[in-house]
Amino acid sequence: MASKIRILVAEDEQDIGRLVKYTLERQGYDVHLVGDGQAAVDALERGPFDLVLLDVMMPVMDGYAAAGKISDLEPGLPIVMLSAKAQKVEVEKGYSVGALEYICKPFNPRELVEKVGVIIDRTRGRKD
Amino acid sequence: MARLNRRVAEWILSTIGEGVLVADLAEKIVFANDAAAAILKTPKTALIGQCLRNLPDFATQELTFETIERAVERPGERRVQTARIAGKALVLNCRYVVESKCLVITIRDITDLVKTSERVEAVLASTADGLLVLDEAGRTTHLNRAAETILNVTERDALGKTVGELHIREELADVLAGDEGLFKSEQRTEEEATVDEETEKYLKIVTTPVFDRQNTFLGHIKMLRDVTAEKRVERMKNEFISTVSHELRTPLTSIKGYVDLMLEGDAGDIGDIQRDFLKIVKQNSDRLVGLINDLLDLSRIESGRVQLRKDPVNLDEAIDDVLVTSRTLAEEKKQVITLVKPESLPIVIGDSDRITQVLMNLLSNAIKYTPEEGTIGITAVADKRFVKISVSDTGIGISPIDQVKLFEKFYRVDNSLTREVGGTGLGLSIVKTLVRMHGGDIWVESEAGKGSTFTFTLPAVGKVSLKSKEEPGTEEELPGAGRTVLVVDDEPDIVRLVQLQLDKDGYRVLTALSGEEALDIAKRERPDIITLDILMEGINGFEVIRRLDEDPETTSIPVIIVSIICDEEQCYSFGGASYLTKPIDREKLSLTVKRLIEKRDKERQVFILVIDDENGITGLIEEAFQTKEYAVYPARSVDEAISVGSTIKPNVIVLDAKMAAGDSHRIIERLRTCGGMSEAQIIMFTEYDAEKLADRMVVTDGDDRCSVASVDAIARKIDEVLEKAGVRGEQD
Repeated sequence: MASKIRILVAEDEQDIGRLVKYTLERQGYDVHLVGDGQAAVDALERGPFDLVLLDVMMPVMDGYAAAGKISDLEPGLPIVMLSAKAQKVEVEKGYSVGALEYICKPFNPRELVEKVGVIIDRTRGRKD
Repeated sequence: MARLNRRVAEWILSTIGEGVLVADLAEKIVFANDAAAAILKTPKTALIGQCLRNLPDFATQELTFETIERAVERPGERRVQTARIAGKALVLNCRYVVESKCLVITIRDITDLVKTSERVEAVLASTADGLLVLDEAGRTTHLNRAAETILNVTERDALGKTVGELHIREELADVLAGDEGLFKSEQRTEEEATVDEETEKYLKIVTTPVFDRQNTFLGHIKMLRDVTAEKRVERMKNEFISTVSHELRTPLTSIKGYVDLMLEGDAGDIGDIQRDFLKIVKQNSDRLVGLINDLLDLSRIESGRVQLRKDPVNLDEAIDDVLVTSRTLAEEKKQVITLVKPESLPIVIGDSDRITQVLMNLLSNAIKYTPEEGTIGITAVADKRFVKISVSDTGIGISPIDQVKLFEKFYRVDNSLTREVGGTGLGLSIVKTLVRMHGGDIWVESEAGKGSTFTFTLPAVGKVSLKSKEEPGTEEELPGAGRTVLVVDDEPDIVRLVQLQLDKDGYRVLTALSGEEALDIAKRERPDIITLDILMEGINGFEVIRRLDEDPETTSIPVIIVSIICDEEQCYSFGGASYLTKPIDREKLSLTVKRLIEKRDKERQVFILVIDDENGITGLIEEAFQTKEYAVYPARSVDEAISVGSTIKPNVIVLDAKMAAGDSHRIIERLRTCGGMSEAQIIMFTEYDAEKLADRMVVTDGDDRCSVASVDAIARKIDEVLEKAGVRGEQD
């Protein structure tokens, strides 16, 4: 693999952000962590990412709004929601704003790794 | 008539309970009996010789003298009035007897009667709940103060009027008036209504029919309770639970996540003791997650935000599904699950997901509490009215005290086993609520040391089962015979695997390795069902579903999403009919494909609703339409027809003219205005001379009536009507 796969994570809870970052870094991903939705949108301008992980309830800009902006800015960039909002309407809303996957908190780190892995494999495969 | 001796006459008058005064034309009392003396609290001797107008209490009664004067003006006529004299309620009866030129006044003491009725009035008036009393024709006979306030109508305005004639919000009037069909129903009903949308005033209305001792229907009492405050508290409670559950998830995510990392060795090596302790943390955080999920579920159910879908549910399939899902759990504990039930259970109306949830909960409890190598039994029986399903375990049993409280929220039987098994204490409470929402009941029987049996009932729609089973003689036939499945996946290995399994079931299998190819084949071959991968190069699965949906030729083909990244929520939000996760469970694949095809068949079925109290004709119609394309539902009354009909949405309604009792217009109107039956074709049949009946029947547009000598005639008529309505044309 020539370059590391870059994942952008937006999560305002530091402990959870660190958990996600640690988990994904152990899989060899390059993880960039930000604290809110606006920061995620800004980060996209500074460098290309292969996947974005968004929390829903965040200050400044929430995950739904961020997902909408990101799909406009970079159509095709896979978005995964990671949220404590686990009710059906909330999950459906996540998909409607462009998420490819919605992981409900609390999650098992292995589940996160698997779901991210599958999406990365597919999108990489398409590019090659 | 022989003249009575004056003394005898006086003696007779002294024995009667009513007071009697006789006065001459100067209104001077010439005779008074004992009762009169007692009522007026004046000795007899003091009364005689007194002028009526001088009697202390009479003197204040203007009306009394008017009555006396009138009586004198019109001799022989009786004047009656009520009066309050000496603290008593009296009925005065006054007559002028011309022959003897005297006034006869009888006095009846009705104080006790008045007191009783005043007490009843006072009780009604001061009841905090509103009370509305209607007579047998639905007219208001009583409206207490609370009801006046709630409805903003005065009793004086309301008396003698039906609810519809009162000046109240239409929606509220509709609820208050109730279903006409239930008018003389013996059932107590409870409903809720909004009085005022702006102030969000909620009302609970309990209607109770009133019968006298001879069992004659007298009317209804409607209790109106303002439940606005309760509703507000309930809403706050639910919002609170929802917020708290979100807030709890956040710290739990950290706890669970880091513990999982350590347990899976992602944070370096850990010792055995550390592993043990971490496992305890993990188990308890998992339990907390389960609790939060149950709590949310319960709060949504209780707040009424969970709307039950009301579809015909095939219980045979629901039981099969639950058995397939829980088999692994039971096998782990080397347990045996036995199933005793008739070949096919009656259809019930309800939400199949929720009924499955109930079954699943009971069965997984049974597995949890039965020791290794134990036996678990599922028994299902049905009578005309109910289906009864029991799940029994061979666990330690439940004590009588615990049995009573078992279905309460958060109640957990406290012993070492329940602590070991874990759980939230909410499962059975949810189960009970769901069963009740379906109109059923649930209970437990248990014997210490032998095990427990949980039994629940669901109301059966009728004895006729949906004819999803194959016709006789085709038992050997495989489920897939004559059906085509299109398998779509960009990995040839997976296509081969799915194809292999479906081949075995006898399906004709078509395959596509890309979205483009899939759309092409779907349009050309019109398969009965499609299995679809999501993450594919080029056109992905979601796009395939979207395009299938856009094309009217392919929009009705059900799609099973087969993907590693799919769950229930996702599947339905993308328009899939069902989903399977990879790795694919072969048996589940088989079952899912079969179910969806059966479901589609059912959707294409023609529903015939037969309203007939004798049931004779129902059986005959069933026989005449004994193929898969038809399902016949019986109803023994118009009320039953309405409840069944609004759910199954019949294509044809067959009505026995006798049931209409000469008022067919009203019954047809009622059927028509009920949801789900406005489009139905109504056929009325009669065994009598149609000519005679025709005069009395008003038949609305599109309806048919026929005089029948045979069922063939009805059957022909049904076919004719269906063809006219274009229903049969769409059949394969």
